[in-house]
Amino acid sequence: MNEHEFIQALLDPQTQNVAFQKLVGQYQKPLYFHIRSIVLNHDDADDVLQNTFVKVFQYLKNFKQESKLYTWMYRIATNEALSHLSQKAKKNGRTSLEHQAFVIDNLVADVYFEGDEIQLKLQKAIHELPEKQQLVFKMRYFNELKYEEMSEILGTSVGALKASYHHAVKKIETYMLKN
Amino acid sequence: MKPFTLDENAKLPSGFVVPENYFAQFELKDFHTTKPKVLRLRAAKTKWTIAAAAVLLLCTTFTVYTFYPKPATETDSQSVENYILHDADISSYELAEYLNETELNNLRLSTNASN
Repeated sequence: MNEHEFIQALLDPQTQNVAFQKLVGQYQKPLYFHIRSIVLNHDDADDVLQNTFVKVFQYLKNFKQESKLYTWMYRIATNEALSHLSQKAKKNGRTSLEHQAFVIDNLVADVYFEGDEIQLKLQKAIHELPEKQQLVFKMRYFNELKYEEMSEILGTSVGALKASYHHAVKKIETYMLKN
Repeated sequence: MKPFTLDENAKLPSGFVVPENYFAQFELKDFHTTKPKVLRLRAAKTKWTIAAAAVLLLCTTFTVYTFYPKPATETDSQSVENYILHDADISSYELAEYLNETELNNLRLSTNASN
């Protein structure tokens, strides 16, 4: 079954339950870790993943298939994660960056974070980057997305993404050395 | 100190883990139904305030309209008579044209009485 047929199966009330289960099974893991890299906390990542799949289901009929289903879902997940982060920060009277810093400071006590000292330092180094560079770095380094896929998801040219990743790497290396 | 280079060092995992069997047990709560529409408390509050204000205004208007003493709109005949006799610029001849003899007598009597 090609992607177009799969989308038709997702839209057909007769087949959509089975097709959607297949979609969830196939994409839950990469989407979860992408979301988790943004919101950092498991419970938040779980909520955002739920919302992402609900939105995918709701808006699938409007999907024009100009991009791949996978990248379209990633785009939804990214937007959902960023908006979740911003809402949560606002609720606590902080900016998104301040909220992230707060979560990173509490990572040591997080039962679902098993990183050692250097991994914790890496998270802190990432947090020092501008938001867009953070996204680019996480998508490339942890989720190993291709630049072409990232370009579709973020709506940024491949060249700009490469430059952004390069800058991010340099800044992180400097941070890791200094701290 | 040996410089730290991300590309040369073995790739560092993020360190994020999930609860046991999280992915195997992952279920969508209900993707068929859309999220319930959340009614903002403040908006609801405003609606009720507006409704209460409208009811209050309606009651006040009704009460005022019903019980407030209305200014007299009908002119009583005594006032008309006084106006004609003392203020209106009508001559005796003009008055005589519109009144019959009995009315003129009555007028004369009442004028004498008031003077």
